[in-house]
Amino acid sequence: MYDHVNNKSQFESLAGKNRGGSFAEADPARRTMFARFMIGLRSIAALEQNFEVHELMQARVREQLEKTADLKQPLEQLAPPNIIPEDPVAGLADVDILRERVNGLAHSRVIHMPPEAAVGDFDSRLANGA
Amino acid sequence: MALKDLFKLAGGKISESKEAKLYRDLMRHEAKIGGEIFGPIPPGGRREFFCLDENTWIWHEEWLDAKQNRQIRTTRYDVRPNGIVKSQDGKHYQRVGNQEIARLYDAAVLYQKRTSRELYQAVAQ
Repeated sequence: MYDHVNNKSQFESLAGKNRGGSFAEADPARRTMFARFMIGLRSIAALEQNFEVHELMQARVREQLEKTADLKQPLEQLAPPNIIPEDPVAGLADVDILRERVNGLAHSRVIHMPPEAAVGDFDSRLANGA
Repeated sequence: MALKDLFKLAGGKISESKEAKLYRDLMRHEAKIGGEIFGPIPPGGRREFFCLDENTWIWHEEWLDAKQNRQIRTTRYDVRPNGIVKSQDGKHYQRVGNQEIARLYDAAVLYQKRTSRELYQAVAQ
């Protein structure tokens, strides 16, 4: 960061010299050079002022965000994740997965019916002369 | 009007013209110094960076593209009380981002230090 104090003191000291008349009475070339030099100094001061304003605005935004975060905190504490899902869409996806699992279990009962029972039944039928 | 008054008037005008010329020359010299603070300029290129007035900075860049065509871009930065805006090649203004503001500031400080040392030493002391 540029040295504000030095810049300001230099600026004031030069402005003082000018008011004192030494530059006002100087030759036109010297006056022109001084005018141009002062524009350079003032342009830096304008940038610095803007920089400070910008920093101030950034600080305000940060402050506002912090306030918002403070308001959000108690709401999160009041709403446990098992009651209000963080992501409702993910909750719906979970229901679908559960439904698939239930269907899968029902289906597996049909396929994996114990074969012994069927064979036994068949054998008993043969034995009975069916 | 007396003849001496006419001479005086003419003298005044000549003096004003000399001052205006000196002012322009100083600005040209500043622009050259400003062009050097961003590092070396590629061959065939030209760069000028200068303070137009206390709230305006100009960055003029010329370069040769891959097909050796000359490209020119002039960026004007306006320092306003509520922020810094820029316009490129005379087109609409847009807000300048934080990083660019920081770079502009650094460049301006370097510019001021170099011009003070190389051009205005006589009046800066």
